[in-house]
Amino acid sequence: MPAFSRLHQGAVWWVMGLVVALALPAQAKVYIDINAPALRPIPVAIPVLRKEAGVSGEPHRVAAEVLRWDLGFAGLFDVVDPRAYLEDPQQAPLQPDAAGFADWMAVGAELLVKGRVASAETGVAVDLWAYDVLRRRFLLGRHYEGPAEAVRSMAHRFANTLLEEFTGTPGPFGTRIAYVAGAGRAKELALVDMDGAGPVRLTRTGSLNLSPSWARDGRYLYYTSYVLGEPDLYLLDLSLGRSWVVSRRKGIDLGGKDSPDGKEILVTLSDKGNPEIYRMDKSSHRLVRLTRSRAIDVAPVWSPDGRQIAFVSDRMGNPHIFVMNRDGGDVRRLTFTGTHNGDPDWSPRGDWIAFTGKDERGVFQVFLVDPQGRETRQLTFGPRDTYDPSWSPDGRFLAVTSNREGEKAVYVFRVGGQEFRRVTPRGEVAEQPAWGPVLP
Amino acid sequence: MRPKTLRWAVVGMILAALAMGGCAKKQVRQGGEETPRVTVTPEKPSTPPSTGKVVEKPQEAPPRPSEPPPGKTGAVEPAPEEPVKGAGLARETTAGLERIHFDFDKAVIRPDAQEILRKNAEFLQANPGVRIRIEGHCDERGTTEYNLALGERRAKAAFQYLMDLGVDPNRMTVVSYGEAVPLDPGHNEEAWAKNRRAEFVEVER
Repeated sequence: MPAFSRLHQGAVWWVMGLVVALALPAQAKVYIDINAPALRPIPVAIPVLRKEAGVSGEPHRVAAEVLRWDLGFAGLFDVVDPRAYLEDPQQAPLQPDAAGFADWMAVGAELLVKGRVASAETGVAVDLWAYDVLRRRFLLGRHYEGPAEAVRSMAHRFANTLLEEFTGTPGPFGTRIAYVAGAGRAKELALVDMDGAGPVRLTRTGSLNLSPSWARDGRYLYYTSYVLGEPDLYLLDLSLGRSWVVSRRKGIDLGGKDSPDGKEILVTLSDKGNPEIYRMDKSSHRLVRLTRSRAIDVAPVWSPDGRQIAFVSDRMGNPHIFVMNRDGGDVRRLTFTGTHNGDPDWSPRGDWIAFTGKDERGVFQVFLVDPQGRETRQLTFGPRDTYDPSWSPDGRFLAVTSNREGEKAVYVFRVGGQEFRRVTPRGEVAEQPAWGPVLP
Repeated sequence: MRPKTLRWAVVGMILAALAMGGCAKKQVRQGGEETPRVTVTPEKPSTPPSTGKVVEKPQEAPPRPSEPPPGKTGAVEPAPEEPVKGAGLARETTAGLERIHFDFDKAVIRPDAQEILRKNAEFLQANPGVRIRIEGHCDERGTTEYNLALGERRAKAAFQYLMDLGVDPNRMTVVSYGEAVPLDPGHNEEAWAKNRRAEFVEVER
């Protein structure tokens, strides 16, 4: 049985009703749709972990903070204010007794995550356990071991496991976002955890570096750099910290969207006079030209099955989102409203294409359109610009650029939610997020 | 990469190397900072501790992260460790020439810009030794990749106009900076109007 049904039928009575109505087999997993409008978030308490002797630093607090950030953002949970917690995490038993569960119930928690940090040969050992407070039952637990600096990663993994238990799909926590940092004439590639931890610069060229795009394995980033004076396409090996030339043609060399099979990338090259879209074989660098128009054709992205490509073209006047087959055939226009649509990114679930468009005030907002072009939905509504959407690998979240707090910065938000969390450092101008894959 | 492009890339790198000969050595390296990989033991179910007693499981050694196959990039050259000094940097219009401006999302040479381009063409005719790079720019409103293309379209429109006025096309190159290098950092109509532009920058022979 899934965790939630043991957890709190009240929150999901309608789901249970559905289960009964459909007479699903008893073994079938039933998951919660976190985008369902009627969903009441499950109150979760996440006390500081127990810190065992010999552990240095504050990993017990870090792990709890990471879990609160993740679960509080997932859309499924509501983190109970830690100031209300009654027990002392150092003294309280790791599995609550009846009195312990009563205390957690008293502060409104229905789910409880507890843990401990101990020293281990590799650094630290972290145990995390989830409990159903209402049923006073253990739900699931995980044991992690690794270097002390891996505590954040361990907590992210547990958050992903919990989200998978409740929804059937792991969360994206612990993944990283590449972006472009810096204002003025030099912009460098940078990388940050999706929760804003550990931002690092990846290039130091003193020139413009733009449009990062991940290879599927998470080791390489394609990007366009002006390091030799013109916008050329490069490949950065994150492990080696070195870049390689992919295309140094006349004009614009842009792109690098990796195909689902990892064999090809999509590029935009303007050496034939105006920007055209190509597939480039990653081993031979051979090109297959996909567009032939006098208009601007840019920003190609793959559908998750690799059969179609969404892109931007102004062949009908203003820039709009189009879709074509992987061989360039069967071109269809997807957007018909607005005067400037761009930055398409195809959801990993395949059902939506996120893009940037303008609202009726002329403010840039993020929209969704389905791959048939039947339905368009506006996702952001604020008075300031929000654009450059990039899907999280699980298709639940989007990273965007926004100037909502003044300077441009990268934010993440849950599709269907309106809470925008800043992930790039204060004081740093940041843009063009590219959400990285889940690494093994 | 196709042989022709490869050849040009090699030529470019040789030129770059020559150009750097006279410059002060300045270490510019990609990926100057470590991007640490975190090794974590794979998850395994952990039984819940009974009250007051924690059950401990024997541990496996943490595996190394699996190394992806190298490169798969075929015939590629490393990026230059040291770029040509200032090569990637947009510049402002050289004295004697004047920049032109464009309407939003347009690359049409406006009447006021036509007037300026005529003067620029006269200057270039009077100074036959001057070679220029036409740099196309956009305002910040617009999507990144589209604006890169639009900036190129603007630079090329100026290129074409100057060529039609008799300027030798071999004396001119174009480059687009998209929206990356605004002239005015403001976020209002006035700033945007200034930033939709083409700059005419004298380059060394």
